[in-house]
Amino acid sequence: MSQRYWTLIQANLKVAPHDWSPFHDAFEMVGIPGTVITEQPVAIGGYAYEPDDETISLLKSTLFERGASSVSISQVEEEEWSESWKQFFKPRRIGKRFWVRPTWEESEAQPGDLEIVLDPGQAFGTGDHPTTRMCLELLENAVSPGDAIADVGCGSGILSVGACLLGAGSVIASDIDKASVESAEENATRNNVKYTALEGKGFQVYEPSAVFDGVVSNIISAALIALAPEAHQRVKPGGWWIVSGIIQDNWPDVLATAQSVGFALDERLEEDQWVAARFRR
Amino acid sequence: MAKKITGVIKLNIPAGKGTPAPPVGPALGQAGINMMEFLKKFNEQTAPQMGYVLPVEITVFEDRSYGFIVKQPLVSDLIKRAAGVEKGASNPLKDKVGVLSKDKLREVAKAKMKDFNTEDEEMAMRIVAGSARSMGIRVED
Repeated sequence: MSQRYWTLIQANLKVAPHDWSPFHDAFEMVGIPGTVITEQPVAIGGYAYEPDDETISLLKSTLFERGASSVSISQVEEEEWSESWKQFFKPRRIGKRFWVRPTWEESEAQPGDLEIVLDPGQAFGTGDHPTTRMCLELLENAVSPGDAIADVGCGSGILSVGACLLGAGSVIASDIDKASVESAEENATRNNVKYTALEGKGFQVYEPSAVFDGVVSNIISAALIALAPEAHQRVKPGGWWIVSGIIQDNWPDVLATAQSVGFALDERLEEDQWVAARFRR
Repeated sequence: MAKKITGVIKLNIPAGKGTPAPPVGPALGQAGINMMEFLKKFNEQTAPQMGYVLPVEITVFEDRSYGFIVKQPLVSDLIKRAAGVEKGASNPLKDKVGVLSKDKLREVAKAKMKDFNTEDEEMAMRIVAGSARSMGIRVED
């Protein structure tokens, strides 16, 4: 993979202002959504991927107009930081049969185990997080051979791979984030399974008439609540919807919404303040 | 004994939409903390405020554990909403893109008083007025 470079634009100030937000706003004006503030040097910075000269010069002049004493520009190699999360990703057993490991670790799977080998890249889903783990556990007891499954908010594709290994007949994965879709595709190849990965929000990229034996969504509570009515339409009678990514405080809202659209609670798991559940239609 | 703090990371991130891309990746990667776990929590916790950019302060401890506090939306966001403008001026001295009424100014100041670390409403209003002006938004007398 060729190395990617980001451009760091940093506005330096002599003293920290009471409020940094006008500087942040200058970054936002040129499409940079996030910024970082440092105390030494006193600065606010934002990163752009391959910005054009016009963007840089507009940003620089706005930052000066808003009080920057100098503006520095540097190139940052993605490798310097994009790999650092890997130290947290260790092989682990999940549920009764899954064994999840990163590509750079040796296999410890036993005969009969379902091994998922992952390189999540910049996507969510290493199996390291309780939300993903609980989803795999719930999937283990839900997928029947030949099932048609949708994975909405697929991240690295870990759940789609898991569903395929459990014998699903067809899996369609989708994510709003392009990098996730690419990562999900790579992980399908890596695990020798076949599924389709699509870029888009919710069910918008699925065939309008497509229905599934099961839908799995490891996203966030607000997205699950928004997704609930259509999830109910997309799940066949008797089928299931697995939800995860829910902080305990938000669980009552997710449960109430799922029940109001016609789902019944089948199983609920909880770990470290996170809740995951399987609903039945 | 309290754990030793090794650093504080200050970021401004869109609510509910944190991703591993910069600035989050480099900042958290350098500190050696579990970025994906942080993002999961941040996005879940802040989704109700989607549409705002939120300041977040992450305290990193010696053992690479961390805690984080999410503050009220950025003053610039609150000002833009209150003044009904989409963006500030790139040349605030020449261009005026909107007007902030005294009442709205007070509203924004009140919302941010805790973050400004002050109980003085007039002081908070002065800070907000300064920010509005530097974005090319006129403050009503």
